[in-house]
Amino acid sequence: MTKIFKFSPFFLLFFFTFIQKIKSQEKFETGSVHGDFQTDFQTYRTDSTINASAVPEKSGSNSYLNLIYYREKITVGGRFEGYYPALQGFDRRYKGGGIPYRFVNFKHHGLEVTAGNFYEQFGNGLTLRTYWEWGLGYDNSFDGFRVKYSAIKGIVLKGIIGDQRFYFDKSAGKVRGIDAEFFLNDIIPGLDSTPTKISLGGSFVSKFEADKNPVLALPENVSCYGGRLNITRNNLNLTSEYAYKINDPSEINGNIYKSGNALWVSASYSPKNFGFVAQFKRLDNMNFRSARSATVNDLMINYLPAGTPQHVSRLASFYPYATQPNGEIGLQFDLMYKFNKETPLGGKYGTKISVNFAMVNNINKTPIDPALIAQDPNNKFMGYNASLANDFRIDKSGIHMGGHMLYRNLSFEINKKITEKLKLIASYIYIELDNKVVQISPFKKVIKSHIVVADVSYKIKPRKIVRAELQHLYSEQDYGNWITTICEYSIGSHWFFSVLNDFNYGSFSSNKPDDIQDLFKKPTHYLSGTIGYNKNTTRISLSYGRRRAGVLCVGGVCRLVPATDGLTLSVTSSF
Amino acid sequence: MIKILKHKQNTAIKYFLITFFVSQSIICFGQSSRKLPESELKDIYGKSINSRSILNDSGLTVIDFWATWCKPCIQELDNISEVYPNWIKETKVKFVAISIDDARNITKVAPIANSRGWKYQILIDSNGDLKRLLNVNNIPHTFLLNKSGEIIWQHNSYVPGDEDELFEIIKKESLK
Repeated sequence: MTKIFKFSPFFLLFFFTFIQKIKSQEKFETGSVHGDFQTDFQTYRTDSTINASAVPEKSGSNSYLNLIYYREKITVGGRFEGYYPALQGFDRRYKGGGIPYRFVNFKHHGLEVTAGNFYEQFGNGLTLRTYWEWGLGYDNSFDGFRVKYSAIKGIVLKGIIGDQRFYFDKSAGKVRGIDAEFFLNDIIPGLDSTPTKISLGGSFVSKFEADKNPVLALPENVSCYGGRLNITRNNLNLTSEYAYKINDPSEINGNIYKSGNALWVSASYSPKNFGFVAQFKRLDNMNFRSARSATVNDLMINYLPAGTPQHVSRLASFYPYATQPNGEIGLQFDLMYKFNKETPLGGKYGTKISVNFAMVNNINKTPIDPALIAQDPNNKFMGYNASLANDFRIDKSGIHMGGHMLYRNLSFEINKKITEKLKLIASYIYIELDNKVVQISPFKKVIKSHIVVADVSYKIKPRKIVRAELQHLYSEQDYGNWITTICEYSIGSHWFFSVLNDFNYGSFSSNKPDDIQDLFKKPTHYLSGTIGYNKNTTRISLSYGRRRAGVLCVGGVCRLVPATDGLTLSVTSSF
Repeated sequence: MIKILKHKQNTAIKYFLITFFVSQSIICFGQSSRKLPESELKDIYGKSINSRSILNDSGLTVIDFWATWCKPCIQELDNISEVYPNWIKETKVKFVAISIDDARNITKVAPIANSRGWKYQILIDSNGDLKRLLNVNNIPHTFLLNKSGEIIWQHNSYVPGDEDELFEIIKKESLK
């Protein structure tokens, strides 16, 4: 019975919508229903050359349909998802069909109430962020209630409570949170006309999960709270947030009782034609999920930005960085510049350049002093000691930050229109990754790779464009070297054809053959072709061929994709 | 017993949703205008901006969803940027570029726009509220709105040259 009661507010709001609907018709105001959907169907066949295996069903398909009814003040929506069975690389708990997402939202005079499922973000997400990323099979939405209130201009208050989505089920843990944000220029008289804009915010999130562990005394209520500050003056911006989490033993942190903290600072300066961004982050034991046993991408409550570049070219996105919640310290710099046309470096059409440097190290962790453990045996459950001050050291060889290397990136890009018809984007990317920690492939050592990319597009006639990409990845580790060629031809905005080949040809040097995985010692082609049709908001594409194994990342969350061979049909639309 | 109840309740939800959407679809059938939904966005200064306030009083409005990691989006915004002064001169159209970036890349939004010389109004829909209300599944996704905020055309994906088609539509619709 309790279950039914739990949902009664949901039905009440439904009922309310209908009443609103009837009332609205009297005033000749109607709402509208809209939606979007995507379906991906793929067949699988066994291909031992690339380690691809067929599934018993011979095919897989992931589909969803979102429907939203929107009228002033009221929004009602739902999403049907179906996995028959889930595509390879998606979690098998996505099975069959269902409506894992439905909500009613009501807005009136600065008050907004949501019942059912919702996505929410407090500040930068260090304490709480839920979102949906279809391509990754990622959805940590809440099912519960959310209230947002903005009675005074410049002040937004939010409160949430609910369970998190866990595939077609829900988390056992409950999550509650409040957030307040103040845009000072709107609140303090006299500040509204100054060029300096300041916003302040604070959030408090708490999760409850019963302690059923017969041995350990686990904290059942774990709180995480943070404060943030954003200052902008003309072209200068500073965003910062600090979050703290009380002790929260979990599968991910090895069941230690240590507290956690996170610091995120990002600054930018961008006058005309120029852009500079500097980011700093430090995380210590910040894994925060609504179940202690959750791993991979399951049941995350907070969001820890990667602080590394998000590469778009195929081979550069081969070695992405995934945030290490147990401890990392990092820096990132971006520099962008546009040389105007009719200048020596700009040429006839102008030239754009960009540079990125990013580094992430692990943090210094000092083991607990054995003397302390002798005095108080509970100390051993603290795991380690760490501090921000402990992560900076200056000696003869320079400034040192944190412990050992996890990730490095150095990249340059030049974007130039050469003639009215010809455009070139050329880039060089160096990536170094400690795969023992980041684990994006079965190879458990440091991987160093140098990538060069040339992307050329040529306009044959207006609306008839050929685009070719040539990429090379050089590495002495993991899969070895790769050459990628992409050729795309588009006619108008409707039809496009493309051929893609990833050619893996092992290593240049035979000195260290152990560093290349067995399967990848012999040259292999991964050839595929695609035909696509696009019209307004509908896109249909049909591909056939091999796809290499790899990792797909969106916004710092990644999914491993196995090698496959077969036919893929994709349809997306919105209406 | 609980399982049975849960099953019944799920069936009830499904039944409600289906009935609701079918009835609404019938009611809304034949009505083509869809207004820009109301939602809170942020400008690059962190100030809240209501989606309705971005509408152009003197002409049409184009809104384009993009992200710093989306190559075709940046290509589209670069290409339109070259012809945008001319578009304004001829039709008084206003272009709004809404980034869906999250904390990882939000501070890169303004530098990318300024370093490339974009003259658009730049806004951020970090929690994806407006994106969901407009059923944007892939970016870039471009909407053309009339003075009263009704969506009169939309398109997703970008191939160089698409901007010419968009401008033809803007010119045609501006005369209405």
